[in-house]
Amino acid sequence: MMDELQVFVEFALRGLLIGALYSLMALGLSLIFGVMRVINVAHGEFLMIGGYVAYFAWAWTQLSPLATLLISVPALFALGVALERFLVERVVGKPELASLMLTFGISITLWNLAHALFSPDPRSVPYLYEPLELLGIYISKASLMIFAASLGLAALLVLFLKGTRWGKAIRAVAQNPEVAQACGIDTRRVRMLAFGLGAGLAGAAGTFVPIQFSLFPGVGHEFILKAFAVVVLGGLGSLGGAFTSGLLLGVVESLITFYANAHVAYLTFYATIVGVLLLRPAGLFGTGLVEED
Amino acid sequence: MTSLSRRGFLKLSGALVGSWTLLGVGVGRGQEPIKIGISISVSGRFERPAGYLFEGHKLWAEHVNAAGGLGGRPVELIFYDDKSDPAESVKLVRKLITDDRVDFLFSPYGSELTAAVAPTIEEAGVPAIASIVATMKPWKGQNAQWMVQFSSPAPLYLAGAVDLAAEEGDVRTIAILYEDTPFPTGVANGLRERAQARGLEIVLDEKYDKAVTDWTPLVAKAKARGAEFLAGGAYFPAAVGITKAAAAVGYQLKLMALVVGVADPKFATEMGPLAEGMAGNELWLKVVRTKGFLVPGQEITNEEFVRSYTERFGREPEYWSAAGYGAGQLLAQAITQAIEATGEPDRMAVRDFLFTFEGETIYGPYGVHPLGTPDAGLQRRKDQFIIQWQRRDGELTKEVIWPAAMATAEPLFGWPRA
Amino acid sequence: MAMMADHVVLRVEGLVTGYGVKEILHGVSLHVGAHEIVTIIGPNGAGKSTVLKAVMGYLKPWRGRIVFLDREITGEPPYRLVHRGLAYAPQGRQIFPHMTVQEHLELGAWTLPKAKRAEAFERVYALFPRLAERKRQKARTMSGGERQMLSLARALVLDPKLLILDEPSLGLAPKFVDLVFKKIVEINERLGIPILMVEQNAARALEHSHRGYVLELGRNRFEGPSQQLLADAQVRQLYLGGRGAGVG
Repeated sequence: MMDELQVFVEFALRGLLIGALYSLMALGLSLIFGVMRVINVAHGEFLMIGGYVAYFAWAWTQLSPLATLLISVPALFALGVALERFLVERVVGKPELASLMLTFGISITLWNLAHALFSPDPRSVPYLYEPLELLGIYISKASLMIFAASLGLAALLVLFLKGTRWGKAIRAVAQNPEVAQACGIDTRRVRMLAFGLGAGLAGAAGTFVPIQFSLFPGVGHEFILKAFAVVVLGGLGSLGGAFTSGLLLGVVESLITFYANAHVAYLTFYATIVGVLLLRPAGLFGTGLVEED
Repeated sequence: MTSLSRRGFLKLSGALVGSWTLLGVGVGRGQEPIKIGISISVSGRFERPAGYLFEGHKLWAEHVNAAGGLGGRPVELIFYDDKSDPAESVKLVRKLITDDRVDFLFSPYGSELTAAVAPTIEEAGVPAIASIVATMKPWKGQNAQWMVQFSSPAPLYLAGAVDLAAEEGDVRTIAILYEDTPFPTGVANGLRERAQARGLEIVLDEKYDKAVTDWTPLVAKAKARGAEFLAGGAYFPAAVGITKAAAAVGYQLKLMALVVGVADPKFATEMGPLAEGMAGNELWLKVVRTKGFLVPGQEITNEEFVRSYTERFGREPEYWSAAGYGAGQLLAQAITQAIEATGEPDRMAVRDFLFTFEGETIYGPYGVHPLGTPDAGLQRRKDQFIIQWQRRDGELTKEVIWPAAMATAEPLFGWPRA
Repeated sequence: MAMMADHVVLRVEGLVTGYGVKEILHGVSLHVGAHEIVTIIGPNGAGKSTVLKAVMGYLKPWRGRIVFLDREITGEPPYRLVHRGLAYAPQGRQIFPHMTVQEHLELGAWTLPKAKRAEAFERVYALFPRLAERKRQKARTMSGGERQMLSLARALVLDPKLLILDEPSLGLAPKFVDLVFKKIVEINERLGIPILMVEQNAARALEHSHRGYVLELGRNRFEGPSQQLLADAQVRQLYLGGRGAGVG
C-alpha cells in the first residue's frame, strides 16, 4: 500500500503526462480558430486519421512508432491544406453555423470512410509499455515519451510562429486579418497553412493514440470533447492557454478519477465547458496565439 | 409476404458415418414424428451465426433419428426463415404453433428475436428452449413458465474466474471495473455476487463511461487499493486498454480476467507478451471435455460431436453449433423422461423437466431458476469456461483453465509473466 | 483646376457594389491625381468607406472599373494591390494589439526583401520620431493618437504610390486630430505620396486636402476643389453642419 502523498503525486503526474496529448490536440484546434474563426468539429477525425497513418506506417515499415510522426504529420498537413483549399475556405467569414455544419459533415464523412476502410477493430502499437519506477511511482515509458514529444512539438510551433516569416503572418492574421492583408499578406494562403498545421498537430496527437490507448474509427469523438473543454478553458485562439489548460485538465481528470470515480472525471469536461462559458467566456488564460500579455 | 421458404423434412442422411450410422436401428416407420418448430434466420444480419446454430440442431436430429428416435418416434424439425426480423419471427412462431401444431420449440437466434417471441411462447404454453440468448429480459422477474434459457446470461460470463481465483489462486481481494452499459453491468453483477459468496474483499467496484479511452487512472486506482485480482471490462477495446494500462502502471497481480476481448484471437497478436497469463471467457470450445445425453443408454462427448459435425458439414463447429446441438440434447432428455413417466412426450412433463433438471450437455452445465420463482427459467448454472493465454512451445495458445474438471492446462497465477 | 488625365493615379468609374445582396454603391466615380490629397465626405450611410474597401479589394465590385497607374485592378485581392503600391490604413486605428511598434513595421515590410528593410524603417521612423522612441512597446498599451500614427507608419513602410485612409481622425482627442492632419499633409508634401481619404470630420479634412467628393446614398452628389466645396452654401448647409469653414 502506498501512502496518501505518494498516491496523490503519482496520479497528478500521470494526469500531467496524459494532459500533454490533450494540449497537442487543443493547440491545433485553437490555432485554426485563432486564424480562421472556424470551430473545427472534424479535429477528432484528424486525430483518428493521423493515428491510422502512423499505425500503418509502423505496421508496414517497422519504423519506430515515434519516427512515424515524420509520416503522419506531413500527411495530415496535406489533408488539412486540401480540405481548407476546397471546402473550409468557402465558409470563412460566414456565420459560425456554416462552418460548424461543414466541419461536422467532414467529421461524419471521415468517420464513415475510416469505418469502411479500416474496419471497426481497434488497433494498438505495443511500444514502451514497460513502466519506469521512481521512488515507488510507476510511469510508463510511452507516456513520458509522448509528454516529451508533445512539449517538443509545442516548442517548435512557438518558434515557428515567433521566428519565421510565415509564422509572423499567421499571428498577424489572427490578430487582425484586415490589417494583415494591408501588409500584403495573402490571407488565403495563411489560412491554408494554419489549417494544415492544425491538422498536422492533430495527426501528431493521433500518432500517440495507438501507443497510449487503442485506435478505432470512433476514437476522435472521445478526444474532441476533451479538446473543446481544453480550448474553452484556455481561451479560444490562445495557444498558451490551450497548452496550460490541457495539462491542467489532465491532472484534474486523473485526480478526480482516483478520489471520486471515472464518471465524475468525465463529467468534469462537460462541466468545464458549461462553467467557463457561463462565468468567464474568454477563458482563464491569454488571448492571442502566442502572446504573453 | 410470409416466407414458406423451405420446409425441412429431415431425411436420414447417408452422409452419416462412423458409430452413428451403426446406431441407426430403424426408427419405427409410420410412427408419428415429434415435431419441433424453429423460426431461424436463413437470411439477414444473423445469417452466419443462425446458420451454425441450425446446423447444430440438424446434426442433433439426425443423430437421434439414426439412433432410433425417442420412444420409437422420429424427431422432425419444422423451420421458416425469419429474415433476422423480430416481427417476422413472432409471426412465424404463431404459425408454427397454430398451423403446424409443433410439440416443442427452439428459440430463434439471439437476444433480439428471442425477446420478441417470448410473450407468444408463454401465452401459447409450448415448452421451448432458448438456445443461444444472453439477455435476461424474458426471465428476470417475469415468472416465465414455458421457455428456459440454455446459454449463459451476462452474470455467468466471468463469474467462474472468481471461483478459480478463490479456490486455486488463494486470492483475497478483487477490483471490478466495468463499462456503464447493460451487458458489462450484468457481467459485473455476476462477479460481485460470486465474489461476495466466495468471501473475497471487493476493494474497488467502479463503472466507467463507454467513451473512456484511457483506463490508466482506473487501473492505477485498483493497484493503489491493493487488488490482487482485476476483473470486468466490456469488449475488445477495454480488454486491450485495461491490459496496457496495467502494464503501464507496473501493476503486478495474481490474476486479471476481462470479458469478451481477451478470448478474441486478435488479443494475442495485438498484445504480444502482455497477453500471456491473461484470462477471459468462452461459451464453448472444441477442446472442452464435456459430454451429455443422446438417446436412452447413449451418450456423446464433445470430441465426438466436433468430429461428427466436421464430417457432416465440411467445416468445424462454432459455439453456436454446440449450443444448437446441446439444446437438442436437453430436449431429448426431457422428452425421454416424459415418455418414461407418462407414455408420451407430454408437454407438461417436458416443461417440468426443463425447469428442474440439473446436468450437462456438450455445451456445458445446465440448470435454471425453478418454476414459481420470479426469475424462473433463467440460466444459473452455465458458467462460461475460463480461458487463459499460455505459452506452449513458444506460441501463445488459449487454454481452458476452469472448471478444473474440463481444463486443458493448469492455471497460471501472476501477471505480467515476462 | 482639375488634374490632367495623364497624372491620374487612381480612377474609379461607375462603381457598383454592396454587402451580401444589399447594394450600397450605385455607380460612384472619382479619381486621384499625382500629388493630390482627395477627401470623400458625406452623411452616414453614403458608402464612403465602402468605396475604399472596394478599391482595396476587400469588397468585390459588382460593376464598374478601377484603374490604378494605368492598369485595371478591378477585383484584385488586397495583398496583390499592396504589391502594386496601394497602401491602406483601415478605420478605427486598427493595429495588431499584441505586437510591438517594431513588429508592426516588420509586418508592414512583409513583401519587402530583407536587404531593403533597414532603410525603409529608418525613413518611417524619421517621419514619426515618437514611434522611434517606443520600438519595443506593444500596440495595445498605446494611446489612440499613437496608434493612429502607428497605423500610418505601417502603411508607409513600402513607400506606396497611393495612400488610402479610412477616417484617420475618428475618435481622437482634439490635439491628436491636429497632429494627424499635419502628418497627412507632411506625407503628401515631403514624400510626394497622393492620398485618398474618407472623413467624418468633413470641414477639417477639406481644409487639408486639394479636392473633395460628396457622396450621398451611394451616388456622387458634388465634387470640386476643396476651397470651392467649403465655400458652397448648399454643401455647407447639408454636409458641413451649416457652419463656417474652419470650425472644428
